[in-house]
Amino acid sequence: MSRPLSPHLTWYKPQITSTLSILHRFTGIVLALGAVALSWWVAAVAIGGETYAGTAWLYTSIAGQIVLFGWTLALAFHLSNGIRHLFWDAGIGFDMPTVNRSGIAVLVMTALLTLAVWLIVLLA
Amino acid sequence: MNDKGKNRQDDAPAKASEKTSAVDASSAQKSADDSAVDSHNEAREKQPANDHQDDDAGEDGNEVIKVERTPTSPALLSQLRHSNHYHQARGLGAGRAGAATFRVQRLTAMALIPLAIWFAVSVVRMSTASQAAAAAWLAWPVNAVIMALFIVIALRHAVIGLQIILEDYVHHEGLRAVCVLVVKAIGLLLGVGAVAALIHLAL
Amino acid sequence: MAELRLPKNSRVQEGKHWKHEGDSDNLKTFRIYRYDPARDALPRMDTYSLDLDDCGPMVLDAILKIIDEIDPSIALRRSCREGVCGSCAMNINGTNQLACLCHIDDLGEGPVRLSPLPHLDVIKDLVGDLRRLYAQYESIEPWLKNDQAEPERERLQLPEDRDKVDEDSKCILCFCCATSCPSYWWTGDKFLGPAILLQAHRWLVDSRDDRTGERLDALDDTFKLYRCHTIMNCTSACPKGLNPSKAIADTKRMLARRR
Ligand code: HEM
Ligand code: SF4
Ligand code: SF4
Ligand code: FES
Repeated sequence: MSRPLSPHLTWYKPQITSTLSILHRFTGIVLALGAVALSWWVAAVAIGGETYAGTAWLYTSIAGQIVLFGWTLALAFHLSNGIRHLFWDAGIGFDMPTVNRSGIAVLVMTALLTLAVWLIVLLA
Repeated sequence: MNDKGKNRQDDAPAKASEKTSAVDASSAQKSADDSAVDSHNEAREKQPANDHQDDDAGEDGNEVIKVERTPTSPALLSQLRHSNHYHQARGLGAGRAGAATFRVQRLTAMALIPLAIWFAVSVVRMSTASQAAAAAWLAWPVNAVIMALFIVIALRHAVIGLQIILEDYVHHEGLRAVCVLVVKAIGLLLGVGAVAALIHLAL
Repeated sequence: MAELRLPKNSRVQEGKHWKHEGDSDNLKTFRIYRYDPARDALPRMDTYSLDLDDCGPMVLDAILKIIDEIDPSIALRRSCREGVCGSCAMNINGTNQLACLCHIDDLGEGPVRLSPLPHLDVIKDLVGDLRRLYAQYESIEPWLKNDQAEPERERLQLPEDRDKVDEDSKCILCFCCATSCPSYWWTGDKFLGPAILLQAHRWLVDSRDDRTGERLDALDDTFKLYRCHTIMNCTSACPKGLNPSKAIADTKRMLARRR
């Protein structure tokens, strides 16, 4: 006899905690894909010629720049939330009010970091 | 409430031994002094006719032999199911690799904080550079070393991270092993390729 | 693969609407998950209207009143009605809580939705199958293991050592935490989950227990312990205000320190 499984994911009220956590995971995957793109870029510089021209064209296209922006955004979030993770691993910041506050701090820091990176890039 | 906690502690060992005996009984049905086995034997003794038919089945094949399946008592079934749960909860024991992986993941994360900030600023800027400029920039030893460190450490960190994600969602053990292997192979390939490219540029 | 969707036999149907007789301006709607293995192929949501004017303040009061006055067939677990037995844990409006400690007024406007603790096999209505959790509890050997000579009376503890187990030992094993944990949903067959890991931690920090190393050995496993990604749904669900994710982080730190 197979019994039904009680409702879970779709019935559970989204928590700030679990939402940020799944974002950490998602951005981790985005960064990993970015690492592939980065390794390719380094290789392309070394190979030069047509290969570099093609890569540069792709990376500097509008779509490429949007993806690059998304990637820095992901990095900023993963970095900020990663630091929050490291504090937790050290046993710091576990009570719920602090958890919620540090979650908001992560979002603010993500926005600031992303802005800072692109300001430096655009001004330089 | 403390009393309650204490009760739980006290009868836990007793419960455990009860359940273990149920497991033993199902695997070694010979030991006659166990209650779980008794119920089986009793049920069999009630049907001597069936046993007899079994014996001469080979001589005349005309007779239709029906051996009724003995229904197992619900109490025994639920006892055995519980011991199954217990058996599964213990699984194959601890893999002893969790803590090591965890440490590498945290150490690489710490190393990546400064590296990632350096990287974000410098490389987004380089993405629009000409090949000559980019090559010159990467050929500068400080840049080359930091870049190599960043790529290798980020790949190490990412491979562990992706392996953890696969362990969460891919439950088929064989498929998971293949996926993890593929991720590791790609990571290794990218790392070796990127470092080789950097050495090539620096020389 | 982890099943993110409910299997076919678990999709919840619209059930019966029980009409309220008589009039009152303090009606509250309760939507309750119903499943009877003897009759139903699929679970459903039944809807009840209850007059809150002569009803106790807690969700448990409301359920018992519905059983008394409208529909006696609803199954649930409860005992103490004051948050110490841990049996009335269920999902209330999307979060896991004890029905006996949950004020109806705190749930705001709109209907109240009750369902069993998430991702368990449903035995009947609001009763989920907890056997795996009990077996996992047993697997961490939650009893004192001491190698020293037995004392005349009880084994004594310094007050500051007792403080270390104080919080963990307030756990009532209601499993609000374990069944709120996404990691436990996907890998609960191997992951011990927050409730059990909190209990494991309770024995790790007990000054009277001499098998700390052995207990840590048994937890050093990618699945048993390290499926916890510090999502913290557990801590926000615990009705006793305990902190399973902190206990888990503490355990991970103990393991990291051994190297
Ligand atoms: C390019 C760089 C990076 C890549 C490709 C990357 C990738 C990943 C991936 C795929 C995961 C697994 C996510 C999961 O388990 O849900 C992960 C986890 C993690 N990352 Fe990164 N990451 C990068 C940079 C960083 C940085 C700069 C930090 C710094 C603080 C960091 C901290 C962490 C931590 C603490 C975890 C573990 C989270 C957990 O236990 O669930 N990562 N990363
Ligand atoms: S902190 Fe760990 S145990 Fe708690 S909900 Fe998150 S993953 Fe589950
Ligand atoms: S830690 Fe809290 S939520 Fe979890 S079982 Fe114990 S009392 Fe319940
Ligand atoms: S009835 Fe005991 S905790 Fe709710």
